[in-house]
Amino acid sequence: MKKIANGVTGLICQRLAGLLAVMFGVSFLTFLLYYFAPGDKALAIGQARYSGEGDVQPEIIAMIREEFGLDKPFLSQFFHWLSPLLQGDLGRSLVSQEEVWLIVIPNLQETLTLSITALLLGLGLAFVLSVVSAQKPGSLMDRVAIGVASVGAAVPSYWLGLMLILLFAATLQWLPSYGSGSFSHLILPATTLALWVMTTQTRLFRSFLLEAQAAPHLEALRLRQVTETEIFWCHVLRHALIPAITMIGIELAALLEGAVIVEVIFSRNGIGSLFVSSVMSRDYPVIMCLVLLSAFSYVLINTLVELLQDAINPVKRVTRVVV
Amino acid sequence: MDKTVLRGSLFATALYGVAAFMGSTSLLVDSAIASEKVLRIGYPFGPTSSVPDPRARQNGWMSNRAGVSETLVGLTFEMQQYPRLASSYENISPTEWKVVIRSGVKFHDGSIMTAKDVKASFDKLAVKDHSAHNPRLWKLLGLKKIKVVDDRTLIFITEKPNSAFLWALTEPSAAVLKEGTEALPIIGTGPFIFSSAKANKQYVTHAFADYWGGTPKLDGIVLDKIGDPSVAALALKAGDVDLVTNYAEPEFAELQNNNEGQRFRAETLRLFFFMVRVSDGVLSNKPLRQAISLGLDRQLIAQVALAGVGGSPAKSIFPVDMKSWVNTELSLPYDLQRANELLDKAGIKDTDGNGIRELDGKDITLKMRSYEGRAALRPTLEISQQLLMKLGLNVEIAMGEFGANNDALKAGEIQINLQAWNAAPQGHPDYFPSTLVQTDGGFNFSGYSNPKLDALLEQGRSEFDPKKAKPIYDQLQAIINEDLPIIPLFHKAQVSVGNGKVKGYRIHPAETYLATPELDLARQ
Repeated sequence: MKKIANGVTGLICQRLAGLLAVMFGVSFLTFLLYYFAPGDKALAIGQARYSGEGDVQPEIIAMIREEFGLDKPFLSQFFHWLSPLLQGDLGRSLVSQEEVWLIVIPNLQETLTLSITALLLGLGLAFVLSVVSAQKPGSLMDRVAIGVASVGAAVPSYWLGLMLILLFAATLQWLPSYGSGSFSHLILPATTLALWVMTTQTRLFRSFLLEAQAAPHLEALRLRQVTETEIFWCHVLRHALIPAITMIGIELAALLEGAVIVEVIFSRNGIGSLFVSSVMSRDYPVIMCLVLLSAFSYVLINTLVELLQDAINPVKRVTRVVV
Repeated sequence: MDKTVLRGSLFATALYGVAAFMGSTSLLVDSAIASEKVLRIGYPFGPTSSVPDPRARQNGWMSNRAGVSETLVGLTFEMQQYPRLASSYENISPTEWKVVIRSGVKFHDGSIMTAKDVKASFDKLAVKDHSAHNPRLWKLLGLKKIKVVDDRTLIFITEKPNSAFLWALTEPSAAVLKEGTEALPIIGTGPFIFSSAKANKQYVTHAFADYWGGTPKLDGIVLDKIGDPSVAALALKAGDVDLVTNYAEPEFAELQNNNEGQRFRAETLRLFFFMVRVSDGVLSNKPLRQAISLGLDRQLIAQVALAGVGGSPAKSIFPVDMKSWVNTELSLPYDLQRANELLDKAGIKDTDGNGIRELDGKDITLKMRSYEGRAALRPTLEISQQLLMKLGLNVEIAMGEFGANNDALKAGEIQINLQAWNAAPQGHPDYFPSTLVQTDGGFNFSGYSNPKLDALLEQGRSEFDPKKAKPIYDQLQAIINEDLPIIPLFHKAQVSVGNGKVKGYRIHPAETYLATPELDLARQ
C-alpha cells in the first residue's frame, strides 16, 4: 500500500511539474498572440478603456504606450506582463477597471454550477439509456435508446433552448425564461446542455458496456455463482468506467468553454460569454486570463482523469507497484 | 438490470421534482417583488461593471436611460436642447459659457446640488486615476477650466471657440455626480437611485422621492440584459419582463400585421453605412463609388433586413427627423440604369465576357466586412452583395471583429466596412463627420481627405448661430453624398413592445433616454 501511495504522490508531483511547464508555455504563446495581434495595441487599449467606439487622443495613446511598455522589445514586454502575473496580479479590466479576478471568479462560479449540473444530469440520463440499450443489443429498447440519442445529437442547442423556453416559460409559465441566481434559473439551461451531454455519452457508454460485458472473465464469475447484479456493478461497470472517465473529462473541459450559446440564450454570465464580450471589446487582460484559465482547466482535468483511472484500474495500479 | 433502470429513472424524476419545487418557490419570491410596482425591462446591453461611473466610457448611456444620472442640458424628442439641471445658459464670449443651475435640485444623498458640486464633478473627467476619467468627453467639451461664480452660477471656459459645447453637455457622460459612498456608490440627481449592478447582466434602481421633477410613479426599474431578441420576446410572453426595448423586427412586424401587443416605434439617429476605402484600391475611383451607391436599393435592404419596420432608407448621413440639421434637398436614389451608364462611361466594362467588370485590366473584386452585435448587419451585408453583383462586380463578404475590420480597411485589405453608428449622439452634426471623414478623424479609416470638408467642419465648430451654421452642415452633407467616403444605407428605427401595462414610455431618437418620473405600470 505504501508503494502505491508513493506511486500516486510521485504521479501528482510529476503532473504538477508538467502543469507548471505547460502553464509557462501557454503564457508565452498567449503573450505571443497578443504581441502579434493586428492593429495598434495602444489605440485598441485606449478604445477599450475610454471610448468604446469613439476617438482616442494622441496624448492618451502615448500615456498607454508608457504604461504598458508597448514601445519596448518583445522580451521586455513579456516580462513586464509576466512578473505581476507570477505574483498573482492579473491586472485590471480595460473596460470596467475592476481587478480581472473579480470579474472572472463570479463568471467561473456560474459556469461551474451550470456545467457540473448539466454534466451530472446528462451522465445520469446517458447511464440509464446506455444500460437499457446494452442489456439486450438489437432489441426494441436498444433501438429506442439509440434513436433518442441520435435525434438529440441532431438538435442544435440554440433551437432546443428556445423550445424549452417556449414550453416551460412562455406557455406553461413554470420556470423563468432567462437569468440566474436561483435553482429554478438553472433548470432550463442545464437541461439544454444535459441533453447534449446525454446524446454524446450514450453511444460511447453503450459501446464501453458492451465491450465490458463480453470480457471472458465474467463467465468464470458466473460459474462461481456470482449474481448478475454484482457482476454488473462490481465488474462490468468498473471496466466500462475506465475509458468513460477520459470522455467525461474531455466533456467537462469542453463544457467549461463551450457553454457560450446556452449562456447567451438564457442571458447567463459565464466564462464563454465573458470570453466573447472581452474579445469584442478587446479587453486584453481579461482575454489573457481566460486563455490561461482554459489551458489550466484542461491540464488539471487531464491530471484528475489520469489519477482517477489509476485508482479504479487494477492493471495500472499493479504495474505502478511492480515498477 | 431492471432495478438499475428503475433506480436511474427514480433519480432523474426526483431531481426534476426538486427542481420544480425550487422553481415554484422562486416564482413566489418573484411575485412578492412584483407587488412593489417595479418595471422590469429586457434590454440588449448590460452595465460594464458592478459600479459603473456614469462619466466613464459610455456608462452614462445606461445610467441616463435608467434615470440615475442627469446632464446640465438635455435633448428633446425633436433633438433640440433644453435646460435640464441648468436653468439657463448663455455664451458670454467665444470661449466662455455662463451656466446657471436649477435651484432646489437634490442629490440622492439628500444634499442640495451647488455650483461647486458641478465643477467638482466635471473636474474629475480629467483626473487620470479617478473612476470618472473620460478623455473623450474632455476633448468633446474642449474645457480649459471651470469658474464658480456663486452657489448657482458657473463659467465654463473652453480652450478655443466651440459652438458644439452646449450640445456636448447633453452627452450622458457629462453627468453631474457627487462622490459615491459605500451605501450609495453612484450619487446622481435623477428620478431613480442606483441600487446595484451586475456586470454585463443587470442594472437595478429604486425611486427617488425627492426628485426635483416630481416623485416617480414607479417604485423602481430593473434593466435585465437579454442579448437574444427571440428570448426577449419569449420573456415578455412569459411575463418575466414588462417591456422589451429592442424587440426583434420580424416578430414586431407580425404583431403589427395582427394589430396585437403594446407596440412602440420611433426613428433613431443610428445610421447603417458603408465605410469605403477611398485613398487606394479600386474604390479610389469615384464613378465606381457613385455607381455602387446608385446600385443599392435601400428600400429593399431596409425591408428585408428589418422586416419593413426597423428602418427607413437614408438620403444623407442624418435622418429627416433631425430637422435642425438635415439637408432635405439631398437624396440617394436607386437607379440601376444610371449606375451601369456611369460605369460604362468611366471605362469600367466587362471586356472578357466573364460577367465581371474590369478596372485597369483587372476584374473588380470588392471585399466587404461587418461585425456581429447588431442583428441587421449580416442580412444587410448579404443583400448588398447580391445587389452589387447585379452591377457586374465580384463581391466577397465576411463577418469579423469591429476593430479588426477597421484595421483591415485602414491597411487596404478590404474595401468596404459595414457599420452602424449613432450619427449625432449629442444632437450636433459635428461629431459623426469629424470622427469619420475629417482628414485626421480618429476613425477615418477610409483614408479620405478633403480640405474643403475639413474647413467646413472647422467653420461649423466656430459658428455659434445655428441659423448660420445650418448652411455649412448642408454643404458638408452634400460633399459626403457626392464623394461617398461613407455610403449611407438606412436609418434604424427602434421597436419596443410592452405587456399592455406600461404607461409613459416613449422611444427617444438619441437612444439615451428612457426612465422618467411619468413612467408607470398599470395595476390590473
